[in-house]
Amino acid sequence: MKIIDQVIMDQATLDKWSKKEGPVTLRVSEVSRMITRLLEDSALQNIWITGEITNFKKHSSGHLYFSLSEQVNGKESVISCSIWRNAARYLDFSPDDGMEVRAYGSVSHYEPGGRYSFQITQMKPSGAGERALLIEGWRREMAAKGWFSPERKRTPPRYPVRIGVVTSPTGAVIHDIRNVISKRFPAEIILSPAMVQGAQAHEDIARAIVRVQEMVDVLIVGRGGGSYEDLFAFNHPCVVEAIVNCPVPVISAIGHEVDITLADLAADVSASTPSHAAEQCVPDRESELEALMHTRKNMFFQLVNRMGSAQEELNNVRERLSSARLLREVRVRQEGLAELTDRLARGASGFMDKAHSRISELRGRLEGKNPLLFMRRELPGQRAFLYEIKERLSCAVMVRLQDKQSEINSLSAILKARGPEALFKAGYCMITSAGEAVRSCTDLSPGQAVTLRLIDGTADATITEVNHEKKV
Amino acid sequence: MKKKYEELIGELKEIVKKMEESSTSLDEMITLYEQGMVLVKQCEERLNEAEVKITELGRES
Repeated sequence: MKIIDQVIMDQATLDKWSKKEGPVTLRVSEVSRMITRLLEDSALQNIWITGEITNFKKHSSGHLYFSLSEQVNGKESVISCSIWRNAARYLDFSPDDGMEVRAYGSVSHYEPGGRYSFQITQMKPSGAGERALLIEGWRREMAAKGWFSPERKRTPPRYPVRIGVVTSPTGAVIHDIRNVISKRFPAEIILSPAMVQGAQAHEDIARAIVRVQEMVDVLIVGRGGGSYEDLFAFNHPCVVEAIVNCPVPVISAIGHEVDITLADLAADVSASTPSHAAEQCVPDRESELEALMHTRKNMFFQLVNRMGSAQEELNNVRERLSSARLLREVRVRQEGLAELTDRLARGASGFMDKAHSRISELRGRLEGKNPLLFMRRELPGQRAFLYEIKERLSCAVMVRLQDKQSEINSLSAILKARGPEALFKAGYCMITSAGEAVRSCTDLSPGQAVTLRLIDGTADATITEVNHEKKV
Repeated sequence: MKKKYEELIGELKEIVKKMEESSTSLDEMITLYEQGMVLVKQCEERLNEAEVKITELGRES
């Protein structure tokens, strides 16, 4: 291998030098220069490298810095890369982390920094459908945000005064739009120029939209036909977001009819071509003139009609005012009046008859309900009934009273025979102590106060001694 | 400031609508017709104005 040969050769040179003056100490610049020479080997110059972009950074100066990396058997290899602004401008896509690319360039050593990097002059996405996948990812994100939803779509004004056009100032698009609009309708076109292709096109388009959006009634965002890559900027979230946030309705006209970009999906109206967009933007002068002609005719027709009906009304009034007609009218009214009077009289007498008969009927019914007559008729019977009831009641009470009296008599006889009266008369008395009957000597003790119940009163006593007849 | 074409058309439509109402009197009708014809003429003139104006914005914001 050539590099190794050269290293060996350089080592040999060093050895030769060191023989003379012992171990040689080299200066940094010398070693640095050697490294530069080694890295400038043709095997590392003008080569294609394929890998995945990582650590992508876009510097404000326009230079791009990132790494190309590859994992083989779990081991990662990384080469730092840079693309200078001038080369970056010609990239036909926007590089980003995770993209698989093929890059063309040379390895170079940056002596002041002690770093090497791969300087890229051309770069292309690699891998199948890399862009398609990217666009599909964006499309999903935007759809999730509701950017394509039909409820968002606004209807462009029918008669715009100022029409904004965001497109290339030199292409056929602005030419076509201008031609179509000038043929159709007198409106003012405000061109907001933008780069429609290249790595920075998306930012430029978005800026052009923002720049013009406040000045116009409707906005056309257009680009002529081109390859899938050429239209790529119109898929970029940057452009689509500008369209979504535009305060006036946006008509998109990007590429040919078959090309559908995310900008087309987000626009309020998607036209197939720039000319078509212009047609959708303004009404046609001829059809407007025709409509005006029609309006003119309609107004004239309405006026003539109204005049005709006014004439008719006048004739009508005049005819009604003629004297013969008035007399005839009076006679007819008189007859009508006479008839009405008759009917009124007939109707009144019939009504009076009916009222009279109704009154006499009511009076009869009222007589039937007179309470005096009712009392006279019903009272004697009711009295007799009452008297009978009273008799039966007192009779029954007497019988019951006699029954109860005899029951009491027999019970008191029984009571006399069995009750304590007989015992009291015989000389027995009842002893109580604290309200309780004393039934046994065991309930008594000397000094206890007791009460003696006799037939005709009570006596209080104190127990002096208790003699039990039986030992307990 | 000149009226917009859209405003002229709007006024014209309003006039035609009033003319189509049966309650409009003949006098009003004649006034409306005169106003309407003036508007139609203005619209036609506007449509026949020749060139489309085109302005190009600078790139600086």
